[in-house]
Amino acid sequence: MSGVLAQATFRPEFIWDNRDIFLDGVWLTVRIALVAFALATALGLIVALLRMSKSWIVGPIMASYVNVFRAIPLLVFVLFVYYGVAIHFSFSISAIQAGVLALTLQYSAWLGEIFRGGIQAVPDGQRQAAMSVGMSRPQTFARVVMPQAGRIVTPPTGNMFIGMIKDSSLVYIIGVPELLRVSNLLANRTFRYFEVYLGTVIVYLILTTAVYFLFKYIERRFQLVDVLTSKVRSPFARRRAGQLRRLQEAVTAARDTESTVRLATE
Amino acid sequence: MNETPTNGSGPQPVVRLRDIHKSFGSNHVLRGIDLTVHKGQHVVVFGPSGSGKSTLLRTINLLEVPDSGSVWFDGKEYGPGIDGEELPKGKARLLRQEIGMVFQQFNLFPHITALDNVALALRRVKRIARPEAELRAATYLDRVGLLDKLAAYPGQLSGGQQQRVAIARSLVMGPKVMLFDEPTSALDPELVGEVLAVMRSLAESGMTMVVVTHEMGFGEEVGDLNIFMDDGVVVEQGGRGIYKDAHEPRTREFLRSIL
Ligand SMILES: Nc1ncnc2c1ncn2[C@@H]1O[C@H](COP(=O)(O)OP(=O)(O)OP(=O)(O)O)[C@@H](O)[C@H]1O
Ligand SMILES: [Mg+2]
Repeated sequence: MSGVLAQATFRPEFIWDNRDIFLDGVWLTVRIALVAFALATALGLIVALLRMSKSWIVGPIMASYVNVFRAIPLLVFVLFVYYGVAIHFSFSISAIQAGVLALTLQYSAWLGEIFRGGIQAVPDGQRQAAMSVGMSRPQTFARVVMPQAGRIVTPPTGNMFIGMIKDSSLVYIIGVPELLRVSNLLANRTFRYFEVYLGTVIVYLILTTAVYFLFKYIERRFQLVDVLTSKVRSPFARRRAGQLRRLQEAVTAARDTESTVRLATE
Repeated sequence: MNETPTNGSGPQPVVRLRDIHKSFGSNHVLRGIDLTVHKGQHVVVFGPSGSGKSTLLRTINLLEVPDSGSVWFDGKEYGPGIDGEELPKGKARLLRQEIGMVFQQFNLFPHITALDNVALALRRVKRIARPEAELRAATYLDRVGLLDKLAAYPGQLSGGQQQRVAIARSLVMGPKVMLFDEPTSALDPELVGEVLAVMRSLAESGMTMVVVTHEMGFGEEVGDLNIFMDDGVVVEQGGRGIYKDAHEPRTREFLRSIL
């Protein structure tokens, strides 16, 4: 009866009145997505590095890892990790931990491929130039390869983060009270399906939009601007420009006194 | 012909390669190369594409480890390791700190400024504090005429400017030898001159140099020793005259083909 009534009158304030329930769910969704994404990023980097290993055995093993985890539907995988493995073999892990584990493993495979692509997209000449001035392999990776690969992988990684927020909803199926699960419970209890799921949609939209703008901001931070000639006037850029001008003056002043060889005449 | 005794009183060789062999799979790229470079000498290497010039140059700083033969630098043997044993870690790195290398494609680090490109190895390899490293880097950018571009990123520089930054990046480490691998081949014709000018004054300043180039004018002008390579061997070597009257038919044919 009340279900029919609920469909008849749309009560937007219902969403606001139940904000505490939504907020509890959102909070868990955010935590699951953040933890799983952080773990998947770290694991993905390891996967990428191992996949590029010169060893005849490590590379193919990691290739299989990637292919297996990418091939399983996430919902199936969540069920498999929790009911299939954790409960059957009585591992004492919670549903939340099982959900995070499933998300982490699958996303590490995707991210591993993205990272590998990014690292391989850095031309070999970059490594050679770094080594030619005496940098070690770890230094070359940290100072030359990683920063360039990082710029390359930022947009696809941002997409993966948005995907993680959305996919984290699938752990509702093993009873984790994240946003989708609390929404389902609320809807089943009150029969206000439209209001409840409208609220859910809006909250996901807010989350993913926030991540979108976060990554846009990061990409903008990567822009390479000459602080001496650009009109950008952040306090940092202004300070740096001052330092560099003093450096130029110091070099110009020393030029006349020192008997150093000038290699170009301009 | 150009062999000089390594012991005794003669001029001290800086670089000495002996009977270098290198294969990539079944591709035998270097087939027994001997090369001795003395202090202050300017060696020019030329030859057809695929003859092994880059591989030879990269053997000098052990970016490429030869299969057999020996690599000497400044009186010490560095590679490839006695009886096939692995090169000790870090040894090649010490060698590379003393040898500068300039690449055809510049290979500047695109994500940092010209100044940081030049200062990076000073800070990370020589562990010089930032203010001092930046002062030295700026001084070397000034020497190649790019003091005003120190805050620019490589993508904002012309090819000729990028190559000059790359030269400064090598020079700032205080190398005993500079290696150039076709430094002007990727440049628009109007930008070749500025890079050659820098290389010419570097040669005049007494820097020991090994230059792979097809700029025969440069070879005629500064090449104390000019080496024609083909198929992984030194076919002919000689003084500045080699470009006008080479003895070997293969050398003559190659020189004719590139004119
Ligand atoms: N890392 C590598 N792996 C496999 N083969 C290689 C590698 N580097 C060079 N070669 C091969 O070795 C041969 C010699 O190459 P190298 O680059 O030394 O020639 P080059 O004389 O410098 O030619 P170019 O004038 O085109 O630069 C070529 O057949 C090349 O394909
Ligand atoms: Mg070459």
